[in-house]
Amino acid sequence: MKRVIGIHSLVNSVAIFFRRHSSFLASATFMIIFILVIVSGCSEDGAEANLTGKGGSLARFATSPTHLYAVDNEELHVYQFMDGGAISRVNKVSLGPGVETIAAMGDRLYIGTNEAMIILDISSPSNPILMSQHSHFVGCDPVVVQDTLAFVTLRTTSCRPSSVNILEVVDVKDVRQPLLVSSYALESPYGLGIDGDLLFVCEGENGLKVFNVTDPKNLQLLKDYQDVDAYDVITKSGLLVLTGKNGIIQYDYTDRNNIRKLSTIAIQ
Amino acid sequence: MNRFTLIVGILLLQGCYYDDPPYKPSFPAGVVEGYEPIYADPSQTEIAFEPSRQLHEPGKIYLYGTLLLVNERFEGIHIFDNADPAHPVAVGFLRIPGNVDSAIRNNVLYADHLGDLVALDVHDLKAPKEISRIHQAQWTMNLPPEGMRYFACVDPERGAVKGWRLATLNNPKCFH
Repeated sequence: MKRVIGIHSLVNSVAIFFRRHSSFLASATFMIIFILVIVSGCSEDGAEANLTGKGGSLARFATSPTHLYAVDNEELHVYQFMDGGAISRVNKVSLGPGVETIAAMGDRLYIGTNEAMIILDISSPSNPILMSQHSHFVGCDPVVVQDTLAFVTLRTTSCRPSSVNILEVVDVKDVRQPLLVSSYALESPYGLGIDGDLLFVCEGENGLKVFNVTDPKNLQLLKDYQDVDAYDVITKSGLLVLTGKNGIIQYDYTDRNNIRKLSTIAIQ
Repeated sequence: MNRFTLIVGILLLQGCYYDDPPYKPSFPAGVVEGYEPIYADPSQTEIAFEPSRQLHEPGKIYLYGTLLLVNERFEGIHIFDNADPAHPVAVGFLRIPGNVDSAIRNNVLYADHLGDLVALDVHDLKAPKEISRIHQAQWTMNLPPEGMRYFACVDPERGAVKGWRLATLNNPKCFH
């Protein structure tokens, strides 16, 4: 807030300066200084921000600006970042059995268990509060979230006995009452990744599917790559990193009609 | 008083239920499929930066800036310079026995390491410096990842367990 006020007063000073000194040279010099001040202000902001990375949807660690959250089979462990990056344990929350994955998004944690998607509020970051459990068939289920939509996959094979292999689209706008929007039959879903209106779903040995999610009630299957083994993906502004039994494969999806393979790191 | 007795009774019953699960197997098992522990080499339990190596059993992936991290299940993390995703360059291998998960924030790597959560300063990837370590008793790998399975009992003499694999077992003496 201080910076905004600072810039306002600076703009006023510039206006007053221009009224008093109309010489072109003076105003040009001042403009350069003015721009430099603004630019240095921006880079200072950048330096204050925390630089974190991005994991796949099967991650068991998630970070918020101030905390690290880790899940094991039954519990959520909460750690606080200290100066210099050391961490201290601040809390732990029991979640029940079968916890698989965690994703942090804004003030919420989305936890995939083999019985439910659990949403916790972390507006008080050391004290996550259980908001809701979206129960479903028993399966294994990573979650990715974008805006107010969560995408969850459930797999039966080599996991737990269950009756379905599906992708669920869940409206999480009301954090206390997630609503199922639509669901789709899949073959053997593992991890998934979302970027804009593109959803990538790993199907293990059954390949990789790409959906258009513009209409969450009616996802459109755009591509079905069956010649790749897909376990999990990360999407990052046009770059898809995929891991599977064929190795680590990277794709460029900036042109959705021409998703190109960039490289493969092979497995020996 | 009666209500108190009832509550205590319920608590006791619950205790019994959890202490004595109803799915105990009948021994002996004969030749069955189950889990066997993978022991960390006692001389190599520490974290160390090593030359890059081939991927064998890649696990989770992580992007940080221009770095691509690929977990090698229970072994550590392959590090690639991914500035050009068309040509990722192997930088090295961060040996972290037991490792499955990791995340990086401000050049500090957080990773599970044989039952501990460790924070490593990786400003210089080739010289990681440990800055904090928290023991998580639940993260020790003394039980297989999946319940209701036979498994080869852990022999502490052979070192710390860094992971488990499915194998054909001959008369395993443990079940979980």
